[in-house]
Amino acid sequence: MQTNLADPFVSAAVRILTAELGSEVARQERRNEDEPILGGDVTIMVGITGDVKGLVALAMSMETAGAIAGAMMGGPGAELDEIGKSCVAELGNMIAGMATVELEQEGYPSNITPPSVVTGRSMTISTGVGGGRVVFPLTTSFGHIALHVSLKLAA
Amino acid sequence: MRKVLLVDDAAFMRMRCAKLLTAEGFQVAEAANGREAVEQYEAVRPDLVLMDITMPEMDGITATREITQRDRAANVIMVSALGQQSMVMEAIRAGARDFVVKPYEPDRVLGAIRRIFPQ
Repeated sequence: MQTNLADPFVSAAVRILTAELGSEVARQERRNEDEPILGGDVTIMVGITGDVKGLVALAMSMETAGAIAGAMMGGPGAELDEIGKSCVAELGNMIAGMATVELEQEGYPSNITPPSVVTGRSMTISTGVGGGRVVFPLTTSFGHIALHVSLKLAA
Repeated sequence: MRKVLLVDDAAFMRMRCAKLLTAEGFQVAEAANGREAVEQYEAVRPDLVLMDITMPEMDGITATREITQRDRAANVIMVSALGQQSMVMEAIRAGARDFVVKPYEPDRVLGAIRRIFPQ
C-alpha cells in the first residue's frame, strides 16, 4: 500500500480525537500487518470509495470505547449501548471525512461509506485491496486506539 | 417557536444537536436517513433542516434535492464530515443554503442558523 495515502487519515485522526476528547494524542511507530485479525474489542470501519479505495478501521478495547463515548457525551465512561456505539461510529465518520478533504486536495477525489461498529475480539477483515495494511497506534488519555489503513489507488 | 428537523444517521449526533437547539428555544424533530427526512419534512414543515450527507437508504444530497424541489423556500444547512469542495458545490446545487463541516462545534452550527434567521 502507498503509505502517503494513509497520511491524511493519521493527521485527521489526531485532529478529531484531540478536538472531540480534549486529550492530547501521542503517535507510536507505525507497523505493517498482513494478519487479518484486528485485535480490538470494538472496531469502527469506514469504507473508502472513488479514486482511492479500501478500508479504514479504528480498533480499541471496550473500556476505551466506553470512556470515549462518555467523553463525547460530556460525562463519565459510558456503557457501549446504541448511543455509545453511535458516538464511536461518528469518530470514524469525522476522521474519514476530514481525510477525504485532503485526498481531494491532492488530486484523489474520494468518498466514504457510513461507518459500521463491530464488537468481538477475534474479528478478522478482508479488505479486497491486497498489500496488507498499515497500523498506526495512537494513545489518548482514554486509552489506546489502533488506526488500520488499507488503501490503494483505483485502477 | 421555530421548528428544526435534524437529519443524521448517528443517534448521538441527533441527541447532541437536539440538546443544543432545544436550549436555544427551537422545537426539534428528527430523522435517521434521507428517506425519513423527506417524509418528516412533509409532515412537520420545519423552518430549517440540518442535514448530514453520508447516511444509509438515502444520502443527504439526494434528500436535500427532493426537499427543495418540493419546497423552493426550504432552508437546508448541511452538517457533514465530508468537506470536499466538490461535495460543498454539489450540496449548494441541490439547494443547501450553508455547509458546516464536522467536527461538531456548537458555535459554528448556531452561526449558520443565525445567518438564515438573523435576530
